[in-house]
Amino acid sequence: MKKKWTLLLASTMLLSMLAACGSGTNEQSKENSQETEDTKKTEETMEIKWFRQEVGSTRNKEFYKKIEDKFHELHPNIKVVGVANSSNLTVSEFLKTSLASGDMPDVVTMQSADEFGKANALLEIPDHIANLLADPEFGRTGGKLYTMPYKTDVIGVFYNKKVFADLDLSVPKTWAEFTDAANKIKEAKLTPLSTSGKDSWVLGMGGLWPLVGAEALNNNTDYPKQRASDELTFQDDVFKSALNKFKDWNQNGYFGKGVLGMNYQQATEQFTSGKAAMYIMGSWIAGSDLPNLKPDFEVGFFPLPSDKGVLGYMTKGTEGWSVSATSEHKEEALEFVKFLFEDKEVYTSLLQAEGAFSTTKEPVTYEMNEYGQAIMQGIEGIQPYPLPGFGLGETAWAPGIDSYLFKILQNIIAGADVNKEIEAADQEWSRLAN
Amino acid sequence: MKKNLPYIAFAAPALIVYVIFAIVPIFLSLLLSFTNFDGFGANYKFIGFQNYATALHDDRFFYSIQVTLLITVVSCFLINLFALLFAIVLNNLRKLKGFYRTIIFYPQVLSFVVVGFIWTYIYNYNDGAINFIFGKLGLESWMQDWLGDSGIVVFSVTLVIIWQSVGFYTVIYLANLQTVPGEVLEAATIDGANRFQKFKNVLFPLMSPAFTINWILCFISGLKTYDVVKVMTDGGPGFKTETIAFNIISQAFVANKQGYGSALAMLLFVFVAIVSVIQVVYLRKREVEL
Repeated sequence: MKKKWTLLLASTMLLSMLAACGSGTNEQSKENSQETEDTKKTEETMEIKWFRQEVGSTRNKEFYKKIEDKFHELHPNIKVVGVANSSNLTVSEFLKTSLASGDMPDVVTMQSADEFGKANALLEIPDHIANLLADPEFGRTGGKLYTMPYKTDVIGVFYNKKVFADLDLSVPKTWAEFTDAANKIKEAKLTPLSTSGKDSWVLGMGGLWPLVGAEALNNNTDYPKQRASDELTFQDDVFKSALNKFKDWNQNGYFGKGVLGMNYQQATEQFTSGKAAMYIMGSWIAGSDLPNLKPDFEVGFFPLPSDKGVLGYMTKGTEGWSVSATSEHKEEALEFVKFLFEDKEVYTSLLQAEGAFSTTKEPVTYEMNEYGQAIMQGIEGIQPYPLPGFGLGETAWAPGIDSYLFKILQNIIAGADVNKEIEAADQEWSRLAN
Repeated sequence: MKKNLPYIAFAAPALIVYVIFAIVPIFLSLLLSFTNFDGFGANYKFIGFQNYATALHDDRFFYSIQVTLLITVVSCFLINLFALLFAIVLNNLRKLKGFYRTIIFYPQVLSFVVVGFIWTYIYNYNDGAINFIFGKLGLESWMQDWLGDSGIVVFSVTLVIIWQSVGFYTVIYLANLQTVPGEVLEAATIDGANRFQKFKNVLFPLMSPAFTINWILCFISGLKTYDVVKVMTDGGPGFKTETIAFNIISQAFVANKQGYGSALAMLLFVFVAIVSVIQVVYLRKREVEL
């Protein structure tokens, strides 16, 4: 008897559950039909998803919302929905996971167009849009353009003018002068070079890449390309001496104490608060929130010199807007990319938010803050040189090798042997490239 | 069959969800582990057991196993020790019971990401709270680069895991403690047992179901450690705090070796299964019932 009751109860509950599901579906389908009617009213409104990085208070949701709304005003049938990376994955990791789950946004910020392009994950940019760029041939992979680089960053040494004046230091023009200045700053009980060992990309951007760049300019400007094509390895003098110089910086105490536990914000703060005199970083800090800015703080900029002097300044222009190959609204997505360049107001605001320089055929300028102005003064009359390790097309290094090299930098700060690390890096390269 | 129908009916919805979102991906992962899939689709082929063979010679992978085991064993031992202690103290408190219970449970409410981020500031060499206090107390020699020194970084991370998790395990012990009948303890008192004897011979054996659960949950979550490492050290300095889970993600999504990453994940899966079964069998044996 008891069993029968249990069975009855169980089946009733199951039925009611199914019924609940059923009514849910009904309501949903009602909603759907409602939506279809609405859609008809506004002539088939479609949604395109736009993945962009939300950073600090300058590039926040509201900032992008204005751009999204402006586009919607011009194209009432297209609605742009912003997608942010709320995880702690890097941009590339985020995109790889969204690609793997078949959920890649239509328009994305792209830092490794080569890798994604070769995997057919991106749409080729048509010529009429590519021609908006000053150099439409730049960064092509096998002759195809997969991303529209929208900005050029400048990477070099920011310095505290007051500290330099107090210590009677002039702007270093050679490697020897740079080392000399760093030693004097250290003697004055200040940290010569601020960097973050915890956010290891800062060690790359604020150390290894500019060093490899300076060494390449000094000895072999083709090194980044030759390393990319396996013609040369990390055993080459350019890379080896860059890594040794990095090791020397650490051994001479230029980074200060506790660098491996310090994150990017803390490293930036160390510089802006006057505790560190120099900070090798990119122009994007001009557009970011700067903590603890002192009233008497005055910033200057110079490109990292090599043994023979300042032979160029580093630029990074590999980040752009790409359209997903799996997008259901390819035409609209491309239209949006075009809008991001053609609308002067939008384009300028994007550049300003990152303190970056324009890449368009018609150069766009804006009123720069003191960081931007310092960069302009610092690079005057000097030729640009693309930052090695971050190339596109034939200068692109093996995907994933950058993360590995950053780890090596941490190892070197922790006291590892440079030659062993170089050997390991070459092994990792051949593993990653195959 | 007929007899079991209601049970099957009740279990079915959850089971279906479980199969779709857990079992199927595990099998897909198993398939992927025999390929050289790079995460982008298109061109990949079956390469047999090559990924597993590579794993056997991968120093970085073996190092990550060591790190994971170290974190797991140390954290589980200390978490259970402190959780048991806190539970007994809380159970005997007369005043402010709710207040202390909240304080102990509070870190559990925060996610590892938040906790990890806060602790990176506490651990900071130059202006972190720990070094600041040591500095003020004149203990300069105790000041450490907590997240940068290869020798201590694993323990710095483990401490955060303990701090965050101990509240959860305390609650389970507390629940179990409250089911221990007062008469048994009273009888022990009458028999002349002292506090330690009462704990060792009466209380602890009666709490072994909670101990079994806590130990196994702790062990499994220890073996899966990822988020706290990602936020606090990103596996660094170098590879010093790379756990197995961290290594798997790095291989799959940073180095684009999803086939290889899947193979490592399968090895982790088998490892966790074996360890769990051994522990369940052993710990169940020593449980007592009233």
